[in-house]
Amino acid sequence: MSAEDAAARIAAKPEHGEAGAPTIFDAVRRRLNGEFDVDPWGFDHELADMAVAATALRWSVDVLGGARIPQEGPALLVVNRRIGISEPAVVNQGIRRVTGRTARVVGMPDIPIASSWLRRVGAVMSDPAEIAGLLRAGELVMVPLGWQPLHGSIAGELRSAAVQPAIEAGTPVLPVATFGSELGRSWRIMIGEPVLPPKRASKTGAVEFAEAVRAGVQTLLDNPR
Amino acid sequence: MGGHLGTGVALELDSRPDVEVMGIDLDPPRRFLRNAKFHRVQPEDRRSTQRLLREFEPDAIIHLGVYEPHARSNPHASHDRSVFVTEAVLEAASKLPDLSCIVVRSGLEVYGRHRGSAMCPDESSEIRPTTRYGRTLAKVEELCRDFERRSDVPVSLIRFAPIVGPHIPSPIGRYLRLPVVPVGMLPDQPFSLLHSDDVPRFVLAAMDLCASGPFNAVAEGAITGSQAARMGGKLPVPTLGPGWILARAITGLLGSPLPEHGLELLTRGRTADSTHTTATLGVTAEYTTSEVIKDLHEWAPVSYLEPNRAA
Repeated sequence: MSAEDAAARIAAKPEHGEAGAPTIFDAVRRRLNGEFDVDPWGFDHELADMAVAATALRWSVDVLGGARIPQEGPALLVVNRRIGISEPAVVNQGIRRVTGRTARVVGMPDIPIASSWLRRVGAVMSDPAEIAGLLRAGELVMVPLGWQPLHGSIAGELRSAAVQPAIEAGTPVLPVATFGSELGRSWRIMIGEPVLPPKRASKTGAVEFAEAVRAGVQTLLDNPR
Repeated sequence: MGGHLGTGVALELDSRPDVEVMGIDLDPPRRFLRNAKFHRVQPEDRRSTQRLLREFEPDAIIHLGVYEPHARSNPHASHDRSVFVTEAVLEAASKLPDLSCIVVRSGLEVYGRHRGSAMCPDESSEIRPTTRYGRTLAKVEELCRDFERRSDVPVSLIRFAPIVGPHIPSPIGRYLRLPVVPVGMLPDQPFSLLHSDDVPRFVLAAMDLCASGPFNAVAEGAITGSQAARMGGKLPVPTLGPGWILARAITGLLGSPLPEHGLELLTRGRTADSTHTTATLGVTAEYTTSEVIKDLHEWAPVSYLEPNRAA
């Protein structure tokens, strides 16, 4: 989604817009009247649109395998990261461009005021209950792998607790590899084949499944296109 | 049966041809009930409660006598009264051989809002109450679970979101109708509500199915305090830390005291996942949270009539 598209979407939010050509003033009026949607996890779609408009000015994102992301319904995306500042926003920019959806980014700290702002743009805590609830609600959920600040081509650690909700919900998990640097402008993201969860949610099965997903990300990192 | 919720449930049951209804409460029902019987009993009168239940020999008991602080009861009395009445009902229930189920009022406050706790808990989430009302609900649930273990009679614990409606005394409803509304520091956290008209749907579905265990009863969607205030043309005032002491003192003087769990709702949010309830009980709320707030702001203000004009 380009910055212009995102700005148009902010102004033209259909359920609240009035007849006639919507303007940015309609968006401002809706916010002043409190007529905007915040979901039970604190996500504000309009604010996220504004964030996408801003990130589209900062980064250029090339997406490979975008058709693997479902247009609707739940999916868990497991993403590699180096430092982890840019990756969530970059991946979300790519996802928004190919599906129009926003993935909820797992791993937010629960800090007063700051966490409220982060929730508004789609962040959630690293709590299996939050991940499970979002998957039940049919959302895309993005789980970052462990930090790899020095070795960007190595997929970091993935805790089995993070994929356990996907096993319980029978939701496919998509490995995602990111290529780029914090200060660079161009990023590329590759979305791999879905990894299907085991039918039984045993502890050993969850560990093996997490390792299979991590290996899926590593395969993408080893074979950049 | 005397409160708005009890009257609503009794009205629904009263319209069923094959159901006999008996209600016990401190206050009489708020609507005309064609067939239901009502007994006015003081909450402290445990003996009368037990005698009436033994004589009536009900198939099901709906226990809504759980008191929210600053709703119908002051915060100091609400805990003791809720626990006392629950104990009396369960003690009487243990002597009813044909009892098939009990439905009990609980609330989302039972989950608590600790740092790091899930924003949108489901029924499997841990119970860690962080407010006085939450602890009251936890105690009521504990008594009910003990009863269920001992008697094998299924107990449904309906964890209601804060209930707001045109005639129900609700501390958060009163508070959000103030002309100036102190809210959490922007951006404030979301919360979900439930319209009082939706309460009977959940209670009766649980009773009809003799369902066991906890069920979250929540309206779809969420809203923040500042949104709720703005939707009614009120002025939201972002408030932080010690500012809440002053804000609560002023709103208390204005007739809308903000209880501890109301403050937690505004500053930490309160939502829940009701997927399990929808799947098991087969019911959802008719009003969304935004519609509950719109309804709240559309109520006519109270206007006092002069005695001669009223006549």
